[in-house]
Amino acid sequence: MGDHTEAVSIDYDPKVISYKQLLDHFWSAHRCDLNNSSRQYMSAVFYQNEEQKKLALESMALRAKVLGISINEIKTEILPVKQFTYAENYHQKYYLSRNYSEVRDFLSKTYPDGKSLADSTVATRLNAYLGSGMKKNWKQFLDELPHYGLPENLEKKLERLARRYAK
Amino acid sequence: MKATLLTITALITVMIGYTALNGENLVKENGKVAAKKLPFDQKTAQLDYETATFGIG
Repeated sequence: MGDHTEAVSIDYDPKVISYKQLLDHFWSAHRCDLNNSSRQYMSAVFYQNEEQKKLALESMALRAKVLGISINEIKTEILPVKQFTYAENYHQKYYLSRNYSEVRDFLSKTYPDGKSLADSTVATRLNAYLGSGMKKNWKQFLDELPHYGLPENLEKKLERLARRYAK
Repeated sequence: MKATLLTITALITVMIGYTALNGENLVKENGKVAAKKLPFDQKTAQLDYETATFGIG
């Protein structure tokens, strides 16, 4: 892997969520005081510009304060990123691949190249709603679902599923 | 919980990949989104989004 690190790249609408909010979520979702096991698998904020760097450093200082530790004890790194290479297809939209093969098959046929599938907002939303726990805003999902453009039978199945979880 | 819900609705795309500290300039073709066949994707592809990248251990 050389100097590569496995990473997640998030495209987001800054009118809906801020970079600072994403940073807050990132810090609360991992143990920043643990040593990284390797460069391939490490916790890091990869900033793309000076503004992101500034916010990342501020958020790290705040996290240290919240945890009551010195900033030097934080092992999560703040680094510039110069290149992002898409991982293999089987890494993308993992929850759909694992548990919702019918959804994944439709999306794979719609977007046969891995990059388009990884880039799809519909695939991203479905993967997020259907994966990793079912405590989601299902009403919101049901509002969005008719706009995704899924085949009618698939849409109906997901609607039934969401109504069941929404109870 | 609030953060999780907020994140889902805000996400346009999420990609898994590899970052490198050296190499050519970044990141996803000047902000273009490749997926445009589904109506919802066509709509979100037009947004002025920003990108955040994290190593997740």
